[in-house]
Order: sequence, then C-alpha cells, then structure tokens
Amino acid sequence: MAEVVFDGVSKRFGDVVAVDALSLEIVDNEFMVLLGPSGCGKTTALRMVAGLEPITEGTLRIGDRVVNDVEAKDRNISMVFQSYALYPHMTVARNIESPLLARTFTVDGEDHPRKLTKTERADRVAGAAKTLGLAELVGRKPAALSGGQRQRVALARAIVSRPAAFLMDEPLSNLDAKLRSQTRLELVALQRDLGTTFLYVTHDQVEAMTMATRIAILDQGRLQQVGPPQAVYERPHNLFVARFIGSPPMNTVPAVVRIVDGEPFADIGEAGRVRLGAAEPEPLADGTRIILGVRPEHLQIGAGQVRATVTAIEWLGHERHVICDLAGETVVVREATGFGTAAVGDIIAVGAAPGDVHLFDPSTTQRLN
Amino acid sequence: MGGTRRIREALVAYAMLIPSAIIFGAFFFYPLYRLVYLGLHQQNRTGTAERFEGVSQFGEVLTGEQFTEGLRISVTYVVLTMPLGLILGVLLALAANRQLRGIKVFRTVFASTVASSVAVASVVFFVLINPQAGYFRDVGFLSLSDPSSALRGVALSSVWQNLGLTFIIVLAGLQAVPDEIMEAATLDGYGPFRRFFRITLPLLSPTLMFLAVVLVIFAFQAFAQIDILTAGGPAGSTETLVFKIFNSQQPLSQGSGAVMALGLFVVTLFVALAQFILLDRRVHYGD
Repeated sequence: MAEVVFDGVSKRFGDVVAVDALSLEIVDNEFMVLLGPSGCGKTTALRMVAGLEPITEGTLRIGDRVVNDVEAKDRNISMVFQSYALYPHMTVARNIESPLLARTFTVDGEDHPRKLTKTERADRVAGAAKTLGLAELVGRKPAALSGGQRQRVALARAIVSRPAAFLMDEPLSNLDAKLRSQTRLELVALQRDLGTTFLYVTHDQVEAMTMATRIAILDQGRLQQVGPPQAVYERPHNLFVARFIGSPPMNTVPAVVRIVDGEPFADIGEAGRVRLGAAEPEPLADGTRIILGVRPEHLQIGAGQVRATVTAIEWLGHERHVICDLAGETVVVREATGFGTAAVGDIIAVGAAPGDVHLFDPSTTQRLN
Repeated sequence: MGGTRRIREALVAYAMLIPSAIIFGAFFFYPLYRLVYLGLHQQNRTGTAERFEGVSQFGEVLTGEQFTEGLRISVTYVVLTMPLGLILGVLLALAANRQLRGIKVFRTVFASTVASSVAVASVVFFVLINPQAGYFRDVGFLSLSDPSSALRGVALSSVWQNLGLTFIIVLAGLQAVPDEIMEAATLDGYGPFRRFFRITLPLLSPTLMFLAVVLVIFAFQAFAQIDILTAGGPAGSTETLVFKIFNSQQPLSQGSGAVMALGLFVVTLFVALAQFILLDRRVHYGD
C-alpha cells in the first residue's frame, strides 16, 4: 500500500558508518529482501524505516511522506522482530490487540482517524488470528506456545493494524529448518494476500532467493546490487555479490587476458587457458589482469583445456561436488546428473561455455562483461 | 551387593549433611527450642530458679499491651519503609537504566548505601536530623524528639539504608527486560507511561515481589538504627517488637520476651507466606 524510498540515507554511530548513502526504492506491493552478512547495515536500514534509529543523513520516504522526523508509531508500519518480542505477560489475543490500543486508525468510509472501539478491535484480532491459524490459541500466554506458534503471533500482531509496510528482521532464524521452509511459502502467500509492501532482512540467501521480488545486497553499509533473484544470480555486478550469492559459491580464479589470433583468452598460468566471450562495454586488452568467475554447475569435467587436480568429492544424494585444485585455487564442480568417474587424485580437464564465464576487475572488483 | 552399597551411600550422604546440621542446630533449632522452653517458664529475679507456667503465659503475653503495642509500631514501621523504599528504588533504577555518558558514576552512587553499615547510616542520619545539632533539626515532620514523628525519622534512615540494595536489584530486573519488547511497545504506540505500566511493571513484578518480602522482613527485624537514633524513645514511640524483645533480657522478663520473639517469628512467617500467595496470582514469570 506504500512505497519506501531511501534517498542517500546514512547512519553513523560515532566513527562507524553503519549505512553509507543508501539509495533504494522499494516499490508498492514489493517483497524486498535486504541481504548481507552480519554487520552489513541491513538491520540498521530496517530500524531506520521503523523509526527506532534516527537517520544521520539523507531522506526516507514512506508513501508520499518524508518520515525522517515522524515518530515510529505514526509511520503506519509494523515490524516483526527476530525474537518475536511478544509480551510474555499477555495472552495471544492481548498481544495481537496491542497495536490497536494506543494508535488511531482511519476506518473505511470515515474521514478522520480515531481510536477503534472494543468491538472493532475484537473483530480485527479475530480476523488476524484466523488468518494465521491461531484461533484456538488466543487464550494462551506466549510461554505455552511453540516457536512456530510464537512466530505466527508476531505476524498476527503485525497484520492487525493493516500497515502500509511490513518490516521483518530475520523472522525465521529461530525456527528449525523444516518449519523455516514451510513458513517461507506462507510468508509469500501472506504477502500476496495482503498486497502490502514487505521489507525483509536476512543473511540467509535461500530466504532471499525464494521469497523476494527483488533482493538488495549490502556489504559494509553499501548497497552492492539490487534486482530480482534470478538477475542477481546470473549477472552479479561485482565480486562480493558473485561470491555471496550461490551455494556452493561461484569459483573465482585470477587470470591474465591474452589475445590470440584476435580471440580473447584467459591465461591461468600452467593450468591452461579459457576462451572468453566479448567483454562490455570495453573490449579486453592483451595483458589485462582479471578474475574469472564460473558457477559450480557451469563447470564441466572433460570439456576444455584447463587442468585441475581432484582433492575431494562430496556426495549429497541429488548432486555431487568435485572439489579440485586449479592453479592453487580451490574450485568446485557441481555434477547434477550423470555423475562422472573423477576420483580423488585424478587430473581432470575442466571448462565452461564462454557465456557462463563472469569477468571481474581485480582492483575495482566490478564486473567486466 | 546393592544393599550394603546403598547403606554406604546413605552414610556418606549423612556425613556430608553433618556440617550444615550442626550450624542449623546450633543457630536455629536449639535457639528455637530454648525460646519455646523459656516461653513456657517464668524465671525468678536472679535467674536461679524457674517455674513452669505453661501455655497460659503465651495467651497473656500475646494479648498484652507490650506485644500489641510493639507489633503496632513494627507494622507502622513496615508501612513507612517498604512502599517508599520500593518506589524510590524503582525510580532511581529507571533513571539509571539508560545509555548515557557517565551513567556508571550515578549507578555507583545510587548503589553505594549497600556498602555502608547500619551503624554508619544511622550516624549519618543522626547528624542530619538530631533534635539538638542536626542540619534538619527544624523539619518537624522528621523530628526525633517528638513521639508522633520520631518513627518517621528512623524509617527514613532505613529507607535510605536499603535503597542501594533495592536499586541494584530493580536495575538488574530492568536490564533483563529485552530491548526488542520495549521497541515493539514503542511501535505499538505506547508512550513512556503506558510502556512502564503495561510492560515494564508486569515484567518486573517477580523482582518487586521478592523485594517487598525482603523489605518487610528487614523492617520487622530493624534494631540497630532504632537503638542508635532514638533508643526506643521518645516515650517508647519507636519501641518496635524487636526492641521490646531486646529489652526483655532480665531474668524476670525472659519468659515474656521469648513469647514475643516467637510471636514475631510467626507474624513474619505469615506475612511472607501471604505475600507469596497473594502476589503469585498477579505476578508474571514469562517463560
């Protein structure tokens, strides 16, 4: 129901820059995931939207309103905390009702915001509890609930005020793996049903890839790349994104460009060389130092002229990881079907189609093709 | 065989219980037995002979003016010290529970009364409110020379004396309240007062209950500050039950003193139990 726009937003704690000139537009009804390692500034960014952290610099808009100086309660947002932050002394129903008690709301068909009546509150609580499958549990205290149920109460408390945007700070990190994958699907369905902007913080790329409309990747307070999951995966803008997204991560190997008969090759020393596609926007010059990146599933054993020594093999049932030493770098080949015969100690040839090879500048870490 | 082994284990267990059994026996069970014994007897003037009085002595003493007046003063003392001490402790802890430069200095100052003995605290208050030389000798409300106000003066010194402990425990309780819960309450639109009464106070209730019980017991047992500040005066207006018991050391009054001591023991026990039972229903222990 509202867009959230960061315009050059910075947050400094003393000398520490937590968020550095972040400009990011979260469009209406989008499921935006802020992804990054711990300490990258994603939670700080979220807390600035919530109004829990003052903004050092820049402007933050929710809808058509600049909210830099708007109090948290007046921002029309809801937040789900990592610990759920349920009130332990209140029943589930009282917890869900809590956001309706002190704030004013504009009821459909009325012009001015007002406090909700007891009946209106009860209706909304019952509705939110039903949506999250909590109808049976409304009389319980949080201590009598399982982790998954507590998480649902936190979600119900978030949706009950019908906010313009939802903020979520690692809401799945306290759930076990099975419940987490189930809840991922439910969150996506919830977002679709509510038709509301979600801003979701996580360090888990699986959550980001599976739920996001778009992912914003942060590192050291700086925005690295924004885009739909597939685009971020297929065309990482820099080495950080390339190595952060994907599991196992993208293989990266330093090389030097050689032009042979007008064709560009990447020379990896004694390991061999790889034919490259065209680089953009500038063609590669002979002698340029680059970093080659290839995803494990794009490497093929037996195709190409680069030699590597198999050092370990990981068998995962549905796939096999062949781990090799390639000119001193560890490289992982992912075999999804038709497992080959490579065994530890073998010297194998590996290669990749030119279109699957990512090129990065070693000094700027930016993408070159 | 299992049997001999069990016996050996039991012997070891009893052996390990001996030290605490000796301590409890010497300092708790034997005195308690002596109190009951003394309470059933009447000594002669020199303490060289005693006469069995039986339970009738209990009835007489517990309904007598000595005991009821002492109990009245003790209860008044509880009412004067416990609520005020608790409220001040909470206020100080709320003030100190912030991230501010130099807040540790304030925390140390607030907690410092823990490190001063009752004697020191009493002397400090003696200097402050002594009827002849005290800085605040003209504050009639606290005057130690007026029977109607002397207990308030003593109570104030107790409140001050216990404030450090109350402060430290409440502060620890406040710091155990997760930040995220307070932030959730902020997002829910709760102002500072609503946050305090709807979130902080309920979450603090186990801490406050513990302190209430401790402060009531402290108040019932208060002795040194009364002895130093007023010695029970003026006109016996600060003679709490403990003070009267202390003054029953002559052989003639030992019997009634013992009965009063047992009476105080039962009263304290009852108050503590009642507080636990009553407050338990309204206290939230979270998970």
